[in-house]
Amino acid sequence: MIAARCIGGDVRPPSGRTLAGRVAARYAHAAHLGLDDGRLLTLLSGDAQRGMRTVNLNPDDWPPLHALLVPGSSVAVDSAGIVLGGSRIDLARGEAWHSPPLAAGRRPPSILRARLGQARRWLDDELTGGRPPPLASWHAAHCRYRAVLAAFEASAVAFDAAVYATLGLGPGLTPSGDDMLGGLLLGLAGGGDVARRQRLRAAVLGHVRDASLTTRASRDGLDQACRGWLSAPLAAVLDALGRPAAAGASADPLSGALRAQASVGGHSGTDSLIGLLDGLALAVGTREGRPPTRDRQRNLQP
Amino acid sequence: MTDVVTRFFPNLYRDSVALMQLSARLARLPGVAQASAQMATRANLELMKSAGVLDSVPEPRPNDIFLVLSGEADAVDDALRTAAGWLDEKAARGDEEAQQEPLRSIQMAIERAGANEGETEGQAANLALISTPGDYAAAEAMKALRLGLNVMIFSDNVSVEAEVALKRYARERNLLVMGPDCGTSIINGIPLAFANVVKRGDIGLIGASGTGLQQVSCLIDHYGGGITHAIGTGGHDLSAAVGGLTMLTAFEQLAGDPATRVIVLVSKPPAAVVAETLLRAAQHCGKPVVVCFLGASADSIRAFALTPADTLEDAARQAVRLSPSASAMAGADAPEASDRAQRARRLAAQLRPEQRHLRGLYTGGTFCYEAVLMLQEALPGLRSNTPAGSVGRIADVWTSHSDTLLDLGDDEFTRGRPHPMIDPGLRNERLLAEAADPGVAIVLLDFVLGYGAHPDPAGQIVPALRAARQAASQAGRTVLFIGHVCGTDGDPQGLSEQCQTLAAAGVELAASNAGAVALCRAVLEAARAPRSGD
Repeated sequence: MIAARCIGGDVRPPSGRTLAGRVAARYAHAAHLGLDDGRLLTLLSGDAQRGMRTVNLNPDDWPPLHALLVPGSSVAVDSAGIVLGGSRIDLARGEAWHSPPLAAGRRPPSILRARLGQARRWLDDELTGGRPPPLASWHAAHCRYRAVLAAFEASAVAFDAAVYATLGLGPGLTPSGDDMLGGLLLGLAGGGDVARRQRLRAAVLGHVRDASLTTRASRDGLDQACRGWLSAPLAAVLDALGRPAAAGASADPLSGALRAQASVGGHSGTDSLIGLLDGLALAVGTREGRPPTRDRQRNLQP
Repeated sequence: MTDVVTRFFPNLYRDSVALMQLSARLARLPGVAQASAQMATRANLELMKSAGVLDSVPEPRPNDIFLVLSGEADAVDDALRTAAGWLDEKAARGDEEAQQEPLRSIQMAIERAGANEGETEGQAANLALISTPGDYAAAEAMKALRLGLNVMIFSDNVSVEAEVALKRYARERNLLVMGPDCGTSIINGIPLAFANVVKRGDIGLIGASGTGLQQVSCLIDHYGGGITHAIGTGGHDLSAAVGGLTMLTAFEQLAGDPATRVIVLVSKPPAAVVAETLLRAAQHCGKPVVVCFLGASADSIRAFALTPADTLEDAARQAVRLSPSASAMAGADAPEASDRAQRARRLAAQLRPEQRHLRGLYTGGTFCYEAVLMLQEALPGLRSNTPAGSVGRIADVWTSHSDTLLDLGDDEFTRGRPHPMIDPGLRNERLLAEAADPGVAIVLLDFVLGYGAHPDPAGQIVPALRAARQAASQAGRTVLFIGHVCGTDGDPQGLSEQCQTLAAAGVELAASNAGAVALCRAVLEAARAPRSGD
């Protein structure tokens, strides 16, 4: 029996119901469990990254569990636990994690505008720093994502086409185009831009059911973004953006939150951050999402 | 000339950094112009087309990695191998992504098999082969049974109590427990452990003897018949304690199998109460049943209206004769029996008067047992470590006396060393010692082919045969080597090649163990008969 350290709010099925599924993928410190109801649960070693469909585990419990997480093997999930390979993850006593509300009223626009500037500068530095140069498909994804931003003012057909062209584009298990759009959805919601959020949400939902469009993990991530569910690192960024920089504080929580979010995945963390900051910026009217600077573009050439 | 090669790697996930590393690594290879690895989403594939990397967009497979390489043909091929190796290497290290983990439990094995096969009905794994130290074998077997699997237990040293518990549990669920100490089975045409490559057909075998099953299945193949299944039960199954639980279940399964039209039972004689239960079940199964309980009386089998067979060879012949699809060739080897007397006289003429004794050096236990039964009347002084009938147990297996038949696979010989079917070194040493005995006329040998056996049983014994012949020749004697090869031309070693090697080395070969034993008996009778001038 392995005790879960933290359990996302959308992990457990209703009491009395058992869901079957399979291990969809396994990574060094994480695994995806695809359930028959279409959801994708994430098992994670450590609890730095929490999410609505994430089960965080003690790192000491991970090695023996990792051996059981054979892709394709069966799992069963009920409200008390996850059974896999003769082992059981106890969900009864772990700490629960719920996505915080996205309501914009908690974040005064004046503070948000100021903090967004700081965050954008940090992100610029991050993207031009020591990261490996992205693939050409990342640039393509970013270009098409920018077309989505521009298309908010265009016709419904043009907007829908721009979203469609972005979905599934880019490197990684969750393609960059998806991560940027997911971040954008959350940023618009967090900034209280109901109209743009609804428009984007409708377009994404209209396409994401197409299984050929993107990876299963990414479809699940977009589904969560459409529901307005933040992961813990993104929630921390949003929270820090809504608070003024503390005078005299030795370390700004915003920097730490941004670093934590940027460390998620290969490019997913920064891609989501691009979308989140653009969505917030659009919502509070500071400026539209902007393209990378010329220097950044040069640095990002593959 | 520039080649473009594409490849999907199914159900493989890599994050963007890993894909970039792969692409960059491949692109640096000499002769590679371009390399791109992406998750195969529609958008990524279309991008490759619009970038001129692809001529057309393949069907999207978003959960697969898609690799595109362009460059010189040889370089692209090399790069593709490098990519596959890199992805495999990552999987083997277990350091990042979806991968093939070493199996650590039966549950894992079932699920891996199911995942590999798509787990469609009829394709999922339904048999576990267990080869662990005996202390653990019973526990692992029970786990497998609880998962609904049939079990083959190669391990020995499983207690009778555990065996009974496993077999009762299995029988209640119509599952097979083949073993413990089961070395041979062929299930759905797939040889398991020590087994041969035989044709598929309509004859089902059940045996408590590994080499017995091998001999009967190979001879059936040789006579033009074929096998549906050959189910090993393990040597203790027909004891009173175990009660033939596996043989009963196997029998019921073959009786209910429409592809099986003849059933053959192979064993030493079961405990009396078990024999009656088995024969009664066979009597009412509605299919021809050949019973080869080595050493049992034929009348006791005929009493149940079943077909008795007194040797393994006879069992194969009878089965093929009864098989509706294969009976035409059942008498193929009849000339061997008719020529035997003449052949025996020719061989006996090479012996000196003091050469009167037989030494059998077997790797197959059932062959030794069968030889003991066949020779017990002809050789009253015969001793063996597999005593049967009137033949007593040899006092010291390391010292032969007059006529001696040894199963070199017995525990006394195999403790701490491989079975002689795998490593015949012990037999070679013993062969030299027996041939040096001036009273020895014949050294009787078996050669077992098939999976699990030595890759070249014939070739490995040739130097020992040559040395033994030379030593005997220097002493003014000729030692006869008589044997048979249990195998088929489909076996990895090849029956014909093995026979040719042995014949070239001067081994007199018969088509079966029974044939070899009969030849030995005929030679000894001829040698012991008063000769003209004596």
